[in-house]
Amino acid sequence: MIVERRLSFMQRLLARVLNYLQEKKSGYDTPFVEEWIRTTGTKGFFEHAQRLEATIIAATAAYGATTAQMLISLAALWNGCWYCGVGHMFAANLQLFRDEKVLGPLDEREVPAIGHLTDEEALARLIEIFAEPRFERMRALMQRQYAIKMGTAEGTTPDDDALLAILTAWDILNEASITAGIDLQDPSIVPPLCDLAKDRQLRADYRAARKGASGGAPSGSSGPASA
Amino acid sequence: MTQASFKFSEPVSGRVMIWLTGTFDESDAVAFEEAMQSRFRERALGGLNVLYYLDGVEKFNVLARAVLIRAHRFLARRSRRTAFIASSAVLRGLALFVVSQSDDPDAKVVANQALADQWLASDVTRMQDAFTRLEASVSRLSQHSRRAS
Repeated sequence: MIVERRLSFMQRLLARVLNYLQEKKSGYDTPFVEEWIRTTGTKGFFEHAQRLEATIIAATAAYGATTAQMLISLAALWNGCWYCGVGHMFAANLQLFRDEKVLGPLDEREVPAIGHLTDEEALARLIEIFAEPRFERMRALMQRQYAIKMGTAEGTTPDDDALLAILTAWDILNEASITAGIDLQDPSIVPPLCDLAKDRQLRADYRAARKGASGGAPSGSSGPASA
Repeated sequence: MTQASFKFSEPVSGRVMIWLTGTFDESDAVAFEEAMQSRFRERALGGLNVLYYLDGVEKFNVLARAVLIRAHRFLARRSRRTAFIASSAVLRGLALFVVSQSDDPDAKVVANQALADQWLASDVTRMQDAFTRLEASVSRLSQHSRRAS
Protein backbone atom coordinates (compact mmCIF):
# COMPACT_ATOMS: atom_id res chain seq x y z
CA MET A 1 0.00 0.00 0.00
CA ILE A 2 1.32 3.46 -0.89
CA VAL A 3 2.05 5.52 2.22
CA GLU A 4 3.13 9.06 1.37
CA ARG A 5 5.98 10.21 3.57
CA ARG A 6 6.58 13.89 4.22
CA LEU A 7 9.14 15.52 6.47
CA SER A 8 7.93 17.40 9.53
CA PHE A 9 9.45 20.72 10.59
CA MET A 10 11.41 18.93 13.34
CA GLN A 11 12.79 16.40 10.85
CA ARG A 12 13.95 19.21 8.56
CA LEU A 13 15.60 20.90 11.51
CA LEU A 14 17.27 17.63 12.50
CA ALA A 15 18.61 17.25 8.95
CA ARG A 16 20.14 20.73 9.09
CA VAL A 17 21.78 20.10 12.45
CA LEU A 18 23.14 16.75 11.30
CA ASN A 19 24.58 18.24 8.14
CA TYR A 20 26.21 21.04 10.13
CA LEU A 21 27.82 18.50 12.47
CA GLN A 22 28.87 16.29 9.56
CA GLU A 23 30.53 19.22 7.82
CA LYS A 24 32.40 20.13 11.02
CA LYS A 25 33.51 16.54 11.71
CA SER A 26 34.32 15.25 8.23
CA GLY A 27 34.60 18.23 5.93
CA TYR A 28 31.61 17.48 3.71
CA ASP A 29 27.86 17.51 4.05
CA THR A 30 25.35 14.87 2.97
CA PRO A 31 23.10 16.22 0.21
CA PHE A 32 20.47 13.56 0.81
CA VAL A 33 20.13 13.62 4.60
CA GLU A 34 16.52 14.92 4.42
CA GLU A 35 15.68 12.13 2.01
CA TRP A 36 17.41 9.66 4.33
CA ILE A 37 15.19 10.69 7.24
CA ARG A 38 12.13 10.63 4.95
CA THR A 39 13.04 7.10 3.85
CA THR A 40 13.62 5.55 7.27
CA GLY A 41 11.69 7.82 9.65
CA THR A 42 13.49 9.49 12.55
CA LYS A 43 13.82 6.39 14.75
CA GLY A 44 14.83 4.27 11.78
CA PHE A 45 17.37 6.90 10.76
CA PHE A 46 19.20 6.65 14.09
CA GLU A 47 19.02 2.85 14.10
CA HIS A 48 20.34 2.73 10.57
CA ALA A 49 23.11 5.28 11.21
CA GLN A 50 24.24 3.25 14.23
CA ARG A 51 24.40 0.01 12.25
CA LEU A 52 26.05 1.77 9.32
CA GLU A 53 28.83 2.91 11.63
CA ALA A 54 29.11 -0.56 13.20
CA THR A 55 29.42 -2.01 9.70
CA ILE A 56 32.17 0.41 8.67
CA ILE A 57 34.08 -0.27 11.91
CA ALA A 58 33.77 -4.06 11.53
CA ALA A 59 34.71 -4.02 7.84
CA THR A 60 37.67 -1.71 8.51
CA ALA A 61 38.85 -3.98 11.33
CA ALA A 62 38.55 -7.04 9.10
CA TYR A 63 39.96 -5.74 5.81
CA GLY A 64 41.60 -2.38 6.48
CA ALA A 65 40.16 1.02 5.61
CA THR A 66 41.03 0.94 1.91
CA THR A 67 39.44 -2.41 1.12
CA ALA A 68 36.43 -1.65 3.34
CA GLN A 69 35.81 1.60 1.43
CA MET A 70 36.22 -0.19 -1.90
CA LEU A 71 33.63 -2.80 -0.90
CA ILE A 72 31.24 -0.06 0.19
CA SER A 73 31.74 1.68 -3.13
CA LEU A 74 30.91 -1.51 -5.01
CA ALA A 75 27.80 -2.14 -2.88
CA ALA A 76 26.55 1.30 -3.95
CA LEU A 77 27.64 0.71 -7.54
CA TRP A 78 25.47 -2.43 -7.77
CA ASN A 79 22.51 -0.28 -6.66
CA GLY A 80 23.20 2.31 -9.33
CA CYS A 81 24.09 5.05 -6.84
CA TRP A 82 26.95 6.98 -8.39
CA TYR A 83 27.23 9.43 -5.49
CA CYS A 84 28.16 6.74 -2.95
CA GLY A 85 29.97 4.61 -5.52
CA VAL A 86 32.25 7.49 -6.50
CA GLY A 87 32.60 8.95 -2.98
CA HIS A 88 33.63 5.72 -1.28
CA MET A 89 36.05 4.73 -4.06
CA PHE A 90 37.52 8.24 -3.75
CA ALA A 91 37.87 7.62 0.02
CA ALA A 92 39.63 4.30 -0.64
CA ASN A 93 41.95 5.87 -3.21
CA LEU A 94 42.79 8.77 -0.92
CA GLN A 95 43.65 6.42 1.93
CA LEU A 96 45.86 4.34 -0.33
CA PHE A 97 47.55 7.45 -1.67
CA ARG A 98 48.16 8.85 1.83
CA ASP A 99 49.55 5.59 3.20
CA GLU A 100 51.55 4.31 0.23
CA LYS A 101 51.71 7.15 -2.29
CA VAL A 102 50.08 4.79 -4.76
CA LEU A 103 47.08 5.44 -7.04
CA GLY A 104 44.25 2.92 -6.67
CA PRO A 105 43.56 0.89 -9.82
CA LEU A 106 40.00 2.18 -10.19
CA ASP A 107 39.78 5.93 -10.69
CA GLU A 108 36.63 6.86 -8.77
CA ARG A 109 35.39 8.88 -11.75
CA GLU A 110 35.12 5.62 -13.72
CA VAL A 111 32.61 4.07 -11.34
CA PRO A 112 29.48 5.30 -13.21
CA ALA A 113 30.81 4.01 -16.54
CA ILE A 114 31.19 0.53 -15.02
CA GLY A 115 27.61 0.75 -13.76
CA HIS A 116 26.43 1.18 -17.35
CA LEU A 117 27.70 -2.30 -18.26
CA THR A 118 25.65 -5.43 -17.68
CA ASP A 119 26.33 -7.04 -14.30
CA GLU A 120 28.48 -9.80 -15.76
CA GLU A 121 30.47 -7.35 -17.86
CA ALA A 122 30.89 -5.03 -14.89
CA LEU A 123 32.22 -7.81 -12.66
CA ALA A 124 34.62 -8.94 -15.39
CA ARG A 125 35.83 -5.35 -15.82
CA LEU A 126 36.37 -4.98 -12.06
CA ILE A 127 38.35 -8.23 -11.91
CA GLU A 128 40.49 -6.91 -14.74
CA ILE A 129 41.00 -3.55 -13.00
CA PHE A 130 41.98 -5.20 -9.71
CA ALA A 131 44.23 -7.77 -11.42
CA GLU A 132 47.43 -6.94 -9.52
CA PRO A 133 48.50 -9.65 -7.06
CA ARG A 134 48.23 -7.23 -4.13
CA PHE A 135 44.46 -7.06 -4.73
CA GLU A 136 43.95 -10.83 -4.64
CA ARG A 137 41.95 -10.60 -1.40
CA MET A 138 39.92 -7.69 -2.75
CA ARG A 139 39.10 -9.66 -5.89
CA ALA A 140 37.89 -12.63 -3.84
CA LEU A 141 35.80 -10.38 -1.60
CA MET A 142 34.22 -8.48 -4.45
CA GLN A 143 33.31 -11.70 -6.25
CA ARG A 144 31.73 -13.05 -3.07
CA GLN A 145 29.92 -9.75 -2.53
CA TYR A 146 28.60 -9.93 -6.08
CA ALA A 147 27.40 -13.52 -5.57
CA ILE A 148 25.53 -12.52 -2.40
CA LYS A 149 24.02 -9.51 -4.15
CA MET A 150 22.85 -11.66 -7.05
CA GLY A 151 21.39 -14.26 -4.69
CA THR A 152 23.69 -17.04 -5.83
CA ALA A 153 25.46 -17.35 -2.44
CA GLU A 154 24.06 -17.46 1.07
CA GLY A 155 25.97 -15.73 3.84
CA THR A 156 27.61 -18.39 6.03
CA THR A 157 31.07 -17.14 7.01
CA PRO A 158 32.37 -14.10 8.96
CA ASP A 159 33.36 -12.58 5.61
CA ASP A 160 29.83 -13.09 4.37
CA ASP A 161 28.41 -11.36 7.43
CA ALA A 162 30.59 -8.32 6.76
CA LEU A 163 29.71 -8.34 3.06
CA LEU A 164 26.01 -8.80 3.81
CA ALA A 165 26.08 -6.00 6.37
CA ILE A 166 27.68 -3.67 3.81
CA LEU A 167 25.20 -4.66 1.12
CA THR A 168 22.09 -4.26 3.29
CA ALA A 169 23.29 -1.08 5.02
CA TRP A 170 23.83 0.52 1.60
CA ASP A 171 20.61 -0.95 0.18
CA ILE A 172 18.82 1.18 2.76
CA LEU A 173 21.03 4.24 2.35
CA ASN A 174 20.93 4.18 -1.45
CA GLU A 175 17.16 4.56 -1.44
CA ALA A 176 17.87 8.07 -0.22
CA SER A 177 21.23 8.75 -1.85
CA ILE A 178 19.92 7.78 -5.28
CA THR A 179 18.20 11.18 -5.34
CA ALA A 180 21.68 12.76 -5.29
CA GLY A 181 23.30 10.12 -7.45
CA ILE A 182 20.95 9.47 -10.33
CA ASP A 183 21.65 12.66 -12.28
CA LEU A 184 25.29 13.03 -11.35
CA GLN A 185 26.94 14.40 -14.48
CA ASP A 186 30.36 15.20 -13.08
CA PRO A 187 31.82 12.61 -10.68
CA SER A 188 34.59 15.08 -9.78
CA ILE A 189 32.17 17.05 -7.58
CA VAL A 190 31.65 14.13 -5.16
CA PRO A 191 33.82 14.43 -2.03
CA PRO A 192 35.73 11.49 -0.58
CA LEU A 193 33.21 10.03 1.85
CA CYS A 194 35.52 9.73 4.85
CA ASP A 195 37.23 12.03 7.33
CA LEU A 196 40.15 12.60 4.93
CA ALA A 197 37.84 14.97 3.02
CA LYS A 198 39.12 17.72 5.30
CA ASP A 199 42.69 17.26 4.15
CA ARG A 200 42.74 19.71 1.23
CA GLN A 201 46.46 19.28 0.58
CA LEU A 202 46.15 15.50 0.33
CA ARG A 203 43.23 15.86 -2.07
CA ALA A 204 45.15 18.34 -4.22
CA ASP A 205 48.22 16.07 -4.31
CA TYR A 206 46.04 13.09 -5.20
CA ARG A 207 44.30 14.99 -8.03
CA ALA A 208 47.67 16.13 -9.38
CA ALA A 209 48.95 12.55 -9.31
CA ARG A 210 45.83 11.27 -11.12
CA LYS A 211 46.17 14.00 -13.70
CA GLY A 212 49.80 13.12 -14.21
CA ALA A 213 48.95 9.43 -14.58
CA SER A 214 46.05 9.75 -17.02
CA GLY A 215 46.43 13.11 -18.69
CA GLY A 216 43.43 14.43 -16.71
CA ALA A 217 40.59 12.21 -17.84
CA PRO A 218 39.60 8.93 -16.23
CA SER A 219 40.94 6.12 -18.38
CA GLY A 220 38.55 4.00 -20.42
CA SER A 221 35.51 6.06 -19.43
CA SER A 222 33.08 7.66 -21.78
CA GLY A 223 31.48 9.60 -18.91
CA PRO A 224 28.26 8.90 -17.05
CA ALA A 225 24.76 9.45 -18.27
CA SER A 226 21.59 8.90 -16.38
CA ALA A 227 19.35 6.07 -17.51
CA MET B 1 18.64 5.23 -29.99
CA THR B 2 15.66 2.88 -29.95
CA GLN B 3 12.13 4.25 -29.93
CA ALA B 4 10.27 3.78 -26.65
CA SER B 5 7.89 0.86 -26.48
CA PHE B 6 6.06 -1.12 -23.82
CA LYS B 7 4.12 -4.33 -23.53
CA PHE B 8 1.74 -5.73 -20.90
CA SER B 9 0.96 -9.37 -20.30
CA GLU B 10 -2.43 -10.70 -19.35
CA PRO B 11 -2.50 -11.88 -15.74
CA VAL B 12 -0.70 -15.25 -15.67
CA SER B 13 -0.08 -17.29 -12.50
CA GLY B 14 -1.03 -14.34 -10.35
CA ARG B 15 1.28 -11.95 -12.18
CA VAL B 16 1.12 -9.09 -14.60
CA MET B 17 4.34 -8.51 -16.52
CA ILE B 18 5.42 -5.23 -18.09
CA TRP B 19 8.30 -4.82 -20.51
CA LEU B 20 9.78 -1.39 -21.19
CA THR B 21 12.28 -0.81 -23.98
CA GLY B 22 14.03 2.09 -25.68
CA THR B 23 14.46 5.76 -24.87
CA PHE B 24 11.63 7.42 -22.99
CA ASP B 25 10.92 11.12 -22.98
CA GLU B 26 7.93 12.61 -21.20
CA SER B 27 5.45 11.97 -24.02
CA ASP B 28 6.52 8.32 -24.28
CA ALA B 29 6.09 7.91 -20.54
CA VAL B 30 2.65 9.53 -20.66
CA ALA B 31 1.66 7.14 -23.46
CA PHE B 32 2.75 4.26 -21.23
CA GLU B 33 0.85 5.69 -18.26
CA GLU B 34 -2.35 6.15 -20.30
CA ALA B 35 -2.14 2.65 -21.75
CA MET B 36 -1.62 1.21 -18.30
CA GLN B 37 -4.52 3.16 -16.84
CA SER B 38 -6.93 2.19 -19.58
CA ARG B 39 -5.89 -1.45 -19.24
CA PHE B 40 -6.03 -1.72 -15.47
CA ARG B 41 -8.46 1.00 -14.30
CA GLU B 42 -11.47 -1.29 -14.26
CA ARG B 43 -9.64 -4.41 -13.13
CA ALA B 44 -9.26 -5.64 -9.60
CA LEU B 45 -5.60 -6.63 -9.32
CA GLY B 46 -5.75 -7.06 -5.54
CA GLY B 47 -4.05 -10.42 -5.39
CA LEU B 48 -1.77 -9.92 -8.35
CA ASN B 49 1.94 -9.19 -8.40
CA VAL B 50 3.57 -6.90 -10.93
CA LEU B 51 6.90 -7.51 -12.64
CA TYR B 52 8.65 -4.79 -14.62
CA TYR B 53 11.38 -5.95 -17.01
CA LEU B 54 13.73 -3.04 -17.66
CA ASP B 55 16.66 -4.55 -19.54
CA GLY B 56 15.61 -3.03 -22.86
CA VAL B 57 15.51 0.52 -21.47
CA GLU B 58 18.12 2.88 -22.86
CA LYS B 59 17.18 6.13 -21.20
CA PHE B 60 14.48 7.74 -19.05
CA ASN B 61 14.85 11.50 -18.86
CA VAL B 62 13.94 13.45 -15.71
CA LEU B 63 10.39 14.28 -16.84
CA ALA B 64 9.75 10.71 -17.97
CA ARG B 65 10.86 9.45 -14.57
CA ALA B 66 8.26 11.64 -12.86
CA VAL B 67 5.56 10.10 -15.03
CA LEU B 68 6.85 6.59 -14.35
CA ILE B 69 6.60 7.26 -10.60
CA ARG B 70 2.98 8.37 -11.05
CA ALA B 71 2.20 5.35 -13.23
CA HIS B 72 3.76 2.98 -10.72
CA ARG B 73 1.72 4.51 -7.89
CA PHE B 74 -1.45 3.91 -9.90
CA LEU B 75 -0.63 0.24 -10.36
CA ALA B 76 0.74 -0.27 -6.83
CA ARG B 77 -2.60 0.86 -5.39
CA ARG B 78 -4.30 -1.94 -7.36
CA SER B 79 -1.87 -4.80 -6.86
CA ARG B 80 -0.13 -6.80 -4.13
CA ARG B 81 3.62 -6.50 -4.69
CA THR B 82 6.03 -5.34 -7.37
CA ALA B 83 9.51 -6.35 -8.52
CA PHE B 84 11.61 -4.33 -10.96
CA ILE B 85 14.15 -6.56 -12.71
CA ALA B 86 17.27 -5.12 -14.31
CA SER B 87 20.63 -6.70 -15.00
CA SER B 88 22.66 -3.51 -15.01
CA ALA B 89 23.33 -1.08 -12.19
CA VAL B 90 22.26 1.99 -14.13
CA LEU B 91 18.77 0.57 -14.66
CA ARG B 92 18.52 -0.59 -11.05
CA GLY B 93 19.37 3.00 -10.05
CA LEU B 94 16.50 4.25 -12.19
CA ALA B 95 14.13 1.70 -10.65
CA LEU B 96 15.38 2.45 -7.14
CA PHE B 97 14.56 6.11 -7.71
CA VAL B 98 11.05 5.20 -8.87
CA VAL B 99 10.50 2.81 -5.95
CA SER B 100 11.73 5.26 -3.31
CA GLN B 101 9.91 8.29 -4.73
CA SER B 102 6.63 6.44 -5.22
CA ASP B 103 6.54 5.59 -1.48
CA ASP B 104 5.65 1.98 -2.24
CA PRO B 105 6.95 -0.23 0.60
CA ASP B 106 6.00 -3.40 -1.27
CA ALA B 107 8.15 -2.82 -4.35
CA LYS B 108 11.76 -3.89 -4.72
CA VAL B 109 14.50 -3.63 -7.33
CA VAL B 110 16.32 -6.87 -8.07
CA ALA B 111 18.93 -8.15 -10.49
CA ASN B 112 17.30 -11.34 -11.71
CA GLN B 113 14.17 -13.44 -11.94
CA ALA B 114 15.05 -15.71 -9.00
CA LEU B 115 15.36 -12.74 -6.64
CA ALA B 116 12.10 -11.33 -8.03
CA ASP B 117 10.28 -14.62 -7.37
CA GLN B 118 11.67 -14.68 -3.84
CA TRP B 119 10.50 -11.11 -3.24
CA LEU B 120 7.02 -11.67 -4.65
CA ALA B 121 6.56 -14.78 -2.50
CA SER B 122 7.34 -12.91 0.74
CA ASP B 123 5.12 -10.52 2.65
CA VAL B 124 7.37 -8.14 4.58
CA THR B 125 7.98 -4.59 3.43
CA ARG B 126 11.25 -3.70 1.73
CA MET B 127 12.48 -1.72 4.73
CA GLN B 128 11.50 -4.40 7.25
CA ASP B 129 13.34 -6.96 5.14
CA ALA B 130 16.49 -4.83 4.84
CA PHE B 131 16.53 -3.86 8.54
CA THR B 132 16.06 -7.48 9.62
CA ARG B 133 18.94 -8.67 7.45
CA LEU B 134 21.15 -5.77 8.52
CA GLU B 135 20.40 -6.34 12.19
CA ALA B 136 21.18 -10.06 11.88
CA SER B 137 24.47 -9.58 10.03
CA VAL B 138 25.69 -6.79 12.34
CA SER B 139 24.80 -8.91 15.36
CA ARG B 140 26.75 -11.90 13.98
CA LEU B 141 29.68 -9.60 13.17
CA SER B 142 29.74 -8.41 16.78
CA GLN B 143 29.78 -12.01 17.98
CA HIS B 144 32.72 -12.81 15.69
CA SER B 145 34.60 -9.75 17.00
CA ARG B 146 33.97 -10.73 20.63
CA ARG B 147 35.19 -14.28 19.96
CA ALA B 148 38.27 -12.98 18.15
CA SER B 149 39.20 -10.70 21.05
